Parts: sequence; C-alpha cells; structure tokens
Amino acid sequence: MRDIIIKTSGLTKDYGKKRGVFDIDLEVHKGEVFGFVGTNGSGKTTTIRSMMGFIRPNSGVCAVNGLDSWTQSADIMKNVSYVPGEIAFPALKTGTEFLKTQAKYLGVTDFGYMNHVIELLQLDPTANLKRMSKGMKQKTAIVAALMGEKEVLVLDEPTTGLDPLMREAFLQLIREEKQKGHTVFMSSHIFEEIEAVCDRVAMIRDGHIIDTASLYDLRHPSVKNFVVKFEREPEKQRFLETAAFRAESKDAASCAIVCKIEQLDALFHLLKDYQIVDLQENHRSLQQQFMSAYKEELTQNGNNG
Amino acid sequence: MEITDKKTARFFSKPLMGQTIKSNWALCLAILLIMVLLGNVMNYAMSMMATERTDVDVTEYQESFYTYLGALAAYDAMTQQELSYQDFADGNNEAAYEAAFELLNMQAGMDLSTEGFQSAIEGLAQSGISLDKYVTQFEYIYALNRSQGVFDQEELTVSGMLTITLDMMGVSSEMVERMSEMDPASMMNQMYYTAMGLLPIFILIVILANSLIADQVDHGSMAYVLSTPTRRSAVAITQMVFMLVVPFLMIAVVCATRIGTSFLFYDEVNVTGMLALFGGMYILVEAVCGLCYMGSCLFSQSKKSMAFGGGLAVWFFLASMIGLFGSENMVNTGMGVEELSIFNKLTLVGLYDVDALATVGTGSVDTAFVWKLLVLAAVAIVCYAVGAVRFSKKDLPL
Repeated sequence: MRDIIIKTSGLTKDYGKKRGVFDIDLEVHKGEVFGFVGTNGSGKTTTIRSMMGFIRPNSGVCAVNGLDSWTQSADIMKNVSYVPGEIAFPALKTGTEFLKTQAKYLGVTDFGYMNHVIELLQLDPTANLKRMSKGMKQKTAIVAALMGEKEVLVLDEPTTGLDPLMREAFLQLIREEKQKGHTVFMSSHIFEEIEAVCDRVAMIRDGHIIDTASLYDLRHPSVKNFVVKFEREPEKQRFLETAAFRAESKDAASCAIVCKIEQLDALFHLLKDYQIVDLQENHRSLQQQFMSAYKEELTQNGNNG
Repeated sequence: MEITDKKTARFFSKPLMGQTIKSNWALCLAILLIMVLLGNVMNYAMSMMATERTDVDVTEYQESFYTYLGALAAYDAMTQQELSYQDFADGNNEAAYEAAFELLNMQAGMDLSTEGFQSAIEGLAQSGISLDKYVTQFEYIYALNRSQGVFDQEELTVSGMLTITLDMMGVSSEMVERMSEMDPASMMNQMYYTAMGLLPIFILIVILANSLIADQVDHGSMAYVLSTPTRRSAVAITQMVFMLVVPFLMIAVVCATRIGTSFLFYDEVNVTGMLALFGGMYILVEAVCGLCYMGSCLFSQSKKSMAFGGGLAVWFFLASMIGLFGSENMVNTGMGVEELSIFNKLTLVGLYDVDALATVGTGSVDTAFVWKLLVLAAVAIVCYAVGAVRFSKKDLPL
C-alpha cells in the first residue's frame, strides 16, 4: 500500500439545515492527482477547509502527512500549498509585492521555479493587485501557491476564470507536479479538466461522498461500447441473430454492441464479413459516470424517504 | 529549490508585520499629521489665552492708587486746583504734586510722595487693564461714597449696585463669581484630552483593528498567511504588537511636539505633567484598541466587527463629549448642567482623569488617576487576551 498523504475519516461539519459535510472518508496517496467534483454548494470547500485546519470538524478526523489538521495546521503547512476558492489578496500594491511577501512567509529564496510558472501562465505580476481581472488574480494565486514547491498541493477550483489556453497551461503544470512525485488534491466542477489530469476522483453531493472512481478504469475500461451501422437492414438482422455479443438494435441499420476487451479481436474478425458504413466507439465520460451516480443516489434517497 | 527557513512561526511573523506596515502606513501617517496639528494649534490657542489674563495680583497697587486719587480729589476740593492722574502722567507739573502731597502729609498724617504715586501706577499697569478704567471706576466709588441711600440711609457701593443690576437682568451673582473663578486653561485641557485629541486616533484604531483581522478573514486574504507555516497565534500576536506599538509611537510624537512647542509658547513647562497626560491617553487608547481588536477577532464578518468596534468608539467619544458639559468648568460658565456628568461614568474616557493627571509634577499630586488607569489597563489586557485566544480557536471561512 502506498503512503497516505491526506486522510479523512468520518469527517463531519454540520452547518444545520442539511448544509455542511457528513461522514467524509477520503484517502489520497502519495504522488497521486486526486480530483474532487461536485455541484456548487455540495461541500467541496468545506472539506478542503477542514483539511487545511481553517475549520474544526464536529466529528471525525482529518490528517495530512499523519498530522491532525486542526491542532497541527501550521506544521502541515510546511509541506502544503493552498489555492483558496475565493481569491482576495492582502492590501498590497502590485502582484510582485504580493509574491515577494508570500516568498518571505514560505522562506523561498530561489525564484527560478516561480519565474517558470509565471512564464508558463503568461502572468504580468507588476500589475496593480486591485485592478487585476479574475483570471489574472487566479494566475497570481496559483503562482503564489506553486512557488514553494511543496509536496502537497491543495487547490480549490483553481481554474475558475482562466481562459481555455491558460487552463491547458495550468493542467500542464499539474502534470509537471505529478512527475515530480508531488501529491495534488484539486476540486472542480469542470469534468473535462479532472478527467484530463486526475488519477482518482471522488464525487460529492449534498455533503456526502457518492462515488469514488479511478480514472484508470475510466480510461481503460474492461468493456467497450460500439455503435455499428450496417449498409442494409437485413445484414443487421443477420448479425444480431448470429453474433455472440450483447447487442441491441437501435435505429434502421445500426445497433449498439457491448464488447469485452478480450473479445475485441473476435468482434472485428466477425465484422469483416459485413458491409459496415460507420463504426463509433461510445466513450463513457466522467460526466456520465457522475450523472449516473447522481441519479442512483437520488432514486435511493427517493426510496428511503 | 532552497528553503532556508522552514520553521513554524509560533509567536511572531516578520513578513506579516511587513505586510501590515506596508498596507497601513499611509493612513497612520495622515492621522498622525492631524493629531500633531490639532495638539499644537490647541497649545498655541491656550498660550494666547493665558497671556491675555495675567495672574499678577494688583490689589495692593490698586488700593494705593485709589488712596492717591482720593487724596488728590480732597486736595483739589480744598485748594480749587485741578490736579489729576492724567495731569500727573503727562509729567508737566511735578512740583505742584510734590507740594500737594507735602501738605496732605502734614494735615492728615499720611505718607504720600510722587515716587509712591508713580510706583502705584507702574504696579497697576501690570494688570493689563488701562489705567483710565481704574480712574473711571474710582470716580464711581468716590461719588457713591459721598452720598447714601435716600430711604434707608445705607451705604452705597459699586459692587452692591452691580449685583442688583445683574440680578434684575436674570444673571445670578453666584454665577458671576464662579465665572471669575473659572479656569479656561483647564477647560481647554479637558476638551483636548478627552474629546478632540482622541477623535482622530479613535478613528484610526477602529479602522486598523478591523482591517488587521476581521477584514482579512472576511475577504479571505488571511488564507495566504495561514497556508504558510504561520500559526494563528503568530498572526494574533503580530497584529496585537502592531496595535500596541503604532498608537504608542503616534502619541509619543504628538507628546514630543507638544512639549517642544510648549517651550516656545510658555516660560514654564510642566514636562512630567504632560508626559503623565499623554501616558494616560495611551492607556485609554489601548483599552479602546483592545475592545476593537477583540471585536475583530470575535467576528468573521468585517461589517459586524466594524459595527462593534466603531460603535463602541463612537459611543465613548459622544458620551465623553456630553459628559464634558457636565464637568465643573462647563457648569461654572453656565454652559453645562451637573446632571450631564453621569455620561462620564458611561464611557471608558471617564476613567481618564485629566484634572488629576495634570497635577503630576506639581506640588500637590492628586493620585485619583491611578486606579482609573489600572482599570483601563486591565480592560486592554483582558480584551487582547480574549481576542487572541478566540482567533486561534474559531472556524475561519478561508
């Protein structure tokens, strides 16, 4: 078993009226990029605040590197960088001034990596902090967090306000961090970016974890879905009758096929004998997975209630 | 990667202090300028007031001057001459006066001389009141002295006439007497130290206390401090140190300039008394500071902390203003009512005993200020402690 960097068990913070988080159990391993997805107000930020030791859980524990988040938060911070969800800077003049102050807090004296990040994100830190656009502020916050080159990164919706190009640059940075063996915990409600960089992902809804999935499974599914379109309908009928695959007819000339990885070869050999006009693989996205888990939970709740 | 200092900041964070200074120095400087200006202009005004009213006792000279005038009046009546103060002052006819005084000395066994007259005039001139006015007053006294009441045959006096006239105008003679006893310098002192001088620094500490903790928590910028190896206690203590040092420096500068200008405006300066007054002011300001700091630590919303700290400071200031109209000096001038002095008990400023503190460095020290300042110091210590502990233990929305 790999080292556990972040661990919460039974973490509960009840704000009343069903708000808050309840019984959160998470384990983030070393070197992993862990995604945390959920709708607005589902409890992502509350969970992260508990991890950082900003709020005290009603029950349950939260530990980073084996240190309790609430009682030893300052020690935890030696190895953790944080990008808050809400960006508000101290009353300093320019971005440069802010980054310099931040370097002093962190004890950073070598600005090589910081400049690398600034370059990658195309940030102009000399701008006035108060007049920065949302995207610029977000970039500044990312630079401030990354410059410490800490082993653990906790990012609360780090890509809000970034344009698609910058989002890509940011994801590149996350990949770099991963290569260095750093652990990243990031929350988001944008499935694509989580899908692009994360190893595992937890889904939260109304304060409850509803699913934890490995993106490896999502990227390397054991079962593939195809939609095949035959030239003529009788051919489709023939295929449906003879083939040993789970298949069901869709519209006129096409049908959906569910095929295990081991059977792929057999499937394509079989299809050689047919006149195929279209072949499409249906990729199951994280979003679909989330939606189905979300709906499942809903129906379960409906039955219980 | 080179991290030179990976220690956790437990009690003090230098970068945070730097950040706090950078974000607040302009405001502090502006308020300091206002305070210096206010303090020294007040000082100048008070020095002007003091020179207008000299405290030189001229009663003796006045008596002697009136004796001479009386003698001259008697001599004029007797010898049909026209000797007078004005004539004497012109100095054309000294021989006539010498002769007159000699005659009077012989007749009435008095001890008059031109030199004596001259010294009485010079002595009386110190009062700053024109001698013509004394002469006119003498005219009234002399005239009244020579007659008596038509009905009761009682003696008529100038002061008796004045009292009756004022009584009929609705001004009680008691008040007139008190007015003459009133001490404008002490009144101005009271006003400066308990109201006007406090207003700028109250405004400053309300803004500072809010922006140092609550505002940063509310906006979320505190996250950048607390996501570094900086304990909450270090944040609380660093900001506390700022709140302790800044008012101290500001009051010290105001005090220094005020002592400096005092040496320009006055001949004699009670330096220890002034140090005691400003020292007391610092303790008072720290008590209010402590309250504002506590509010800033208790509330996570900037507006609530502002309402708490600002509300209290405004109340203290207003109550002290109203209380001023209940002070002895104001009551004496007829501008106040004694009942209003209850407001002095409803404000922390009431524990800053300016009159007692002003006696430090003089012969008779009134030690009533000691326990009051101790109460203020206790308020400050308790509030700072409660605030710092609460800040280290509460949930922060970062």
